[in-house]
Amino acid sequence: MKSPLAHSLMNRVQGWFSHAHQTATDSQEKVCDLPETTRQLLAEQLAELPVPVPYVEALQTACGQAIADWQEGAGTTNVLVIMTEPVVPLPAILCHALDHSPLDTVNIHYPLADYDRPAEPLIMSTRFYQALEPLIGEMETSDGSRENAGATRADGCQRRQVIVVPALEECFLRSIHGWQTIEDLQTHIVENPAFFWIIGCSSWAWAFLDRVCHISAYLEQVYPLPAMTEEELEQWLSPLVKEAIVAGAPDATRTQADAGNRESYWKALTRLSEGHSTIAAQLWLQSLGIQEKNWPQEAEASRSPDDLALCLRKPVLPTLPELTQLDRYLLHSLLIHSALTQEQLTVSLGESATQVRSRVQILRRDGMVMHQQGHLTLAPAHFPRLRSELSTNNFLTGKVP
Amino acid sequence: MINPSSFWQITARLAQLQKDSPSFQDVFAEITTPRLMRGLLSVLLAYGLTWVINRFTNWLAEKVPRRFRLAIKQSVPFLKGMILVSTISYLVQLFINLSQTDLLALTGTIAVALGFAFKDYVSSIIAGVVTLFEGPFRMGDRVRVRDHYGEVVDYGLRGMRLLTPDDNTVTIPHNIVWTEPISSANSGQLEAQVVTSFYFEHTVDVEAVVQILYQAAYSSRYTQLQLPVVVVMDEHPWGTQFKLKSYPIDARDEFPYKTDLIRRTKKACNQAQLAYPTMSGYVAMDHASEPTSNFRMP
Repeated sequence: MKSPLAHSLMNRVQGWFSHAHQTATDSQEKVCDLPETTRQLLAEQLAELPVPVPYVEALQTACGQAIADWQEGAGTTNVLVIMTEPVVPLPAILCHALDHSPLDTVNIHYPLADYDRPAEPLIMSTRFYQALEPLIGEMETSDGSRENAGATRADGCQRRQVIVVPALEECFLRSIHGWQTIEDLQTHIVENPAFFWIIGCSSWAWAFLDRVCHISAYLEQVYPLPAMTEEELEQWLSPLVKEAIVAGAPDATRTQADAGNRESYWKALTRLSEGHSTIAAQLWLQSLGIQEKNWPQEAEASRSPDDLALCLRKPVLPTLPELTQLDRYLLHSLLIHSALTQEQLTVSLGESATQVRSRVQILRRDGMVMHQQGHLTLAPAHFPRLRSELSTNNFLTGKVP
Repeated sequence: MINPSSFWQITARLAQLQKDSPSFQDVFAEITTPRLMRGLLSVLLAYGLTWVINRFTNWLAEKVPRRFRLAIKQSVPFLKGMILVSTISYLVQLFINLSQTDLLALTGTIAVALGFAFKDYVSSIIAGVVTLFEGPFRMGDRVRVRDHYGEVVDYGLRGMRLLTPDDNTVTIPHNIVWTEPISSANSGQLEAQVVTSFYFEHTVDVEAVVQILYQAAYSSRYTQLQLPVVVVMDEHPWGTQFKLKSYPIDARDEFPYKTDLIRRTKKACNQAQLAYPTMSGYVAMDHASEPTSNFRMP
């Protein structure tokens, strides 16, 4: 196991070399950044990319197996937690995988589909209960009492209700009374063995909840979302641009060298992104460039990426901007909850709204924080370096098992 | 204290040595301009180096991740000590021609002279060197010496400097540390336990208070979640005292942390309508914020 100092130093040294290499390559071939319109177009296309197939297949297999075990044996656990890093959009992946799964022997329910976490912790518990209770209440009424349900469903064919909580981190807020919902959920899960629960959770939220309400004691079966391989990432991202050569090979040997360069490019991208789709997607977009000789005229700058001769530069992790203490606390809070509204962030930090708003504004300008559909999230490309930064600054960080 | 009989023995021995030793001129090297310049330069260089090391390590300690801050700060006294020893050795070698007998005579003379004239100063220096190796506290620790509490921000030849929560710098001679008890809150660690007291009526719902206090600590952004949070209680004639013991991520955040805990706990207690002790009379508070017996019962 690497010490935090060694990890931090390695990151820094890698950063220097990556920069040095990119500068050398850029100066050899004079590779420029993409025109803004093209970059924007590609970013939109990236957002519309289908959920990566390896994720879907892995989740379908894991859920199918866990449900089959639960249906067969009376002693097995009735919950499966899918865990990944906070910058991976697990709710979308999980819902897509289950919606397209061949699980036809079970009824899948999403009781929290319309649940919107309020910023006031005391209301949160009531809203959560309102969202969850009708489903459980209805099932109990139709199938008999809770105790009865547990006993009579010893035979597998009766066990067919699956409840999905796509993002556990959206069910609590770090504040006094803020995780009452999680404690209620733990009780529901333990007291209703007749229902199978599939819960998505980020490793950071898990680490926090384990400290404050010992969640791992109740939700014991954890499945880490597997990392994507370099071939899988290439297969997922490459269709976005018709042809992009890898910058760095001299013209005379381009054909032979390109295959090798391409392989090392995808290897580097997978290593830096740790196989996480969203991090890889952002790094890939940042690494796209265009050779100066192929730079489009002003009128052509808005052409589709397919019409431009794009090239791939060596991927690098973006450097973190100068962070204040409040920034670190703010980003740590964002990572625990994956996504927060500004109001929720203020409650979670226990800081004045004005202070939080101004820091968020600065972090958004620096590209650290993104604002999507009313929620603030961390820019995925910054995640690896930020995790190391927070860890060496004595913060509690998550770790996917 | 020097024993009077020992003193006379040393003086007699020195007199004997002076008889046997070479003249004053032979002991001290000839003072020439280049030698004087070299001496002056070495003093200036030592001063400059000390200044640079002080500035650089302080700058570096604030730039690196918190985990490495204390280790970097701790190197300052050692580096300063090395510079001091090297400079003094160089100056002695530059200006004094020492034989074995001269060395003995000189050491004795200096010891006696310093013993009388700069007793406290020498005592502080020696105490500083011993403290450095004994390590009852380190640079960056939060310590209490007598009535002074603060972060150790400098460790000099004669004393150390504390930066108090009120932003005052207090210089404490090392010889005080030599004789007085010194309490270090974090002993070289980044975290230091913070104890926050809360007071309620005897009839208060204890379970509700304990629950709120635990949650206040766990939900504070400053809390080091990897260390335990504990609530302990104590009974007083005027009410029940709850002590919340927890650790901030960085000991430097001690006071903002305490404020954060109190602010959010009070808000939650007000929402839950938990009763504080009611005292109709005057209450004198001591330094630990605990009411003394100087009050009238409600």
